[in-house]
Amino acid sequence: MTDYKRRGTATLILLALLITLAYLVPYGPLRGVESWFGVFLFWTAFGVAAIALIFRLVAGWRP
Amino acid sequence: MTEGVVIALGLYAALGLMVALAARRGLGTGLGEYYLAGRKAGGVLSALSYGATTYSAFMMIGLAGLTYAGGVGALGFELVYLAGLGLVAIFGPRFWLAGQHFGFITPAEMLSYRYNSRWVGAVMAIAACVFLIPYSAVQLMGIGYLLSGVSDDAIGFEAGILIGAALALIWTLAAGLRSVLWTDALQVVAMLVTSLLAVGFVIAALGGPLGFLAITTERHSEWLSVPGPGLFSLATFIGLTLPWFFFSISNPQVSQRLFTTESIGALRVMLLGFLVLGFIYTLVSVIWGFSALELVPDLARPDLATPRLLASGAVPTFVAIVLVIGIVAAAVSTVDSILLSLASLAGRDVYAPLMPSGSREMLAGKLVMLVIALLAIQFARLQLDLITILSVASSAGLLVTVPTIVGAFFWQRGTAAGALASMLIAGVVVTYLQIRGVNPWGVPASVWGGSLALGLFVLVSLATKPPHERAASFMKPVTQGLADHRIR
Repeated sequence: MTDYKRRGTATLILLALLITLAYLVPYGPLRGVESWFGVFLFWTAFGVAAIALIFRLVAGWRP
Repeated sequence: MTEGVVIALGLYAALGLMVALAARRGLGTGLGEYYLAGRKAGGVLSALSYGATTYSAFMMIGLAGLTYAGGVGALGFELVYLAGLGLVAIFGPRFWLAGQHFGFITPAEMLSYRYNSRWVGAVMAIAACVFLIPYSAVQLMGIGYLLSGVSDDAIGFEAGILIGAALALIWTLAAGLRSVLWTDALQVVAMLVTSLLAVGFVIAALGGPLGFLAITTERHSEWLSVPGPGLFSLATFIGLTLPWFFFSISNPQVSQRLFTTESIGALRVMLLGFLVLGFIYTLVSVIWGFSALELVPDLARPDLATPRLLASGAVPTFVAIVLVIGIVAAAVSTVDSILLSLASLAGRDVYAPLMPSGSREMLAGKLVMLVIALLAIQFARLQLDLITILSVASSAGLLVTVPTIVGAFFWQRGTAAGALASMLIAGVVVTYLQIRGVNPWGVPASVWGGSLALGLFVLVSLATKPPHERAASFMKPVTQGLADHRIR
């Protein structure tokens, strides 16, 4: 597998894991935590991380 | 307030009309020119238009209301959608390359070619009309309620609907996607700037950012957690997010945009620009909903949070007026893109195959656009609860097209029979479940619909003869293009 394909696959796996965590963490360890530093902070960080991974996914494209 | 709203609406309409007419200059001939802006859309303009098309009146009214009713779950719901834009990184270049090579105008036409059956595209086009007309009607209803609410009925509900439909129609008919792109760009700026301004004022009314955080923690702490006040159980969260996650490839008004950019680079700019814009607009809408909890508490209907907040005095009249225009812009920019996309689908994938070659497909598309607009107006005027149910059902309904779309690129064994069974049977089942409000064994209707669509697609495909040659000829230029552009 070429380098860009390997890198793309790795990024996609990370994105899939991250999206799974967006369900597991709020409804698992953070369930019922009534604070801005609970689910709100987690999901905001999740949004930033997801956008960063999508940036990484398309960064290597050769237009 | 009424006078201000009327003047602001007039200015907005006049400005939009000027932009739409300016877009007519340089408009070439042909379907590709009209429906896809000649496949020459730049990245920044595409990003702005993609944002305006995706984000409807739902954000500052519906998402804010969802936050008001259910708390922080609304944020997770919308950010999972945004993470689903990873699908554009996968399917965007594939759509684009196939569109460039084969000259496809609609996503349904692409599927017809790949599965070697006109029926596949026709069924997808009809499904899109069934699910998106009520969705457009809800946007028009949103405009009607908002304008009648803030003007104390000086602008009637029906007048609001007609204003919204007329603007969407004019801006679409003016120059097709060219005028939609340019008016969308204008509108998304109005949406973002006005919502940022308004949320700034409500935060200030609550004592600044720290005051807002402290008040929410002190008095509405339950809303900061999941399941929160009760709306966002895990099953509901999954049921809502699953169809939303696939929105970018299941909804033709946005997936068609993957054919329109001038290059792969412009496609990338569109995706990245939209992600940034979407993240900001999501946070603003959710914070707006949290502010309403404190400033207009105990509303029986959460959807009223925004109109009531605008009337609460926390926002200066001028800002309230511009926000109303921003919300109208959000709704109109969604409706016009849906009108254009449905017209192309109905003309290209339903009308053209039935007519001899050389048929007046463009005229048919424009007539369809008028008919769709009239149907949406009529639906909206009825003010039926059924419309709301159907609009919620729309994203779940379109989810049943996802296995067929994914299979087109990633499973050569997929067949037309599998695609048709999957879309038709799962589409009927999910619509029935949603209209009846039934979740068998506690599993949301969208999960049933999606799973059934996947199962049927795989099983029926395995039982029928695959179009190997067609699938290979479809994928050849795509695979080559992906390698040339170093895309995974």
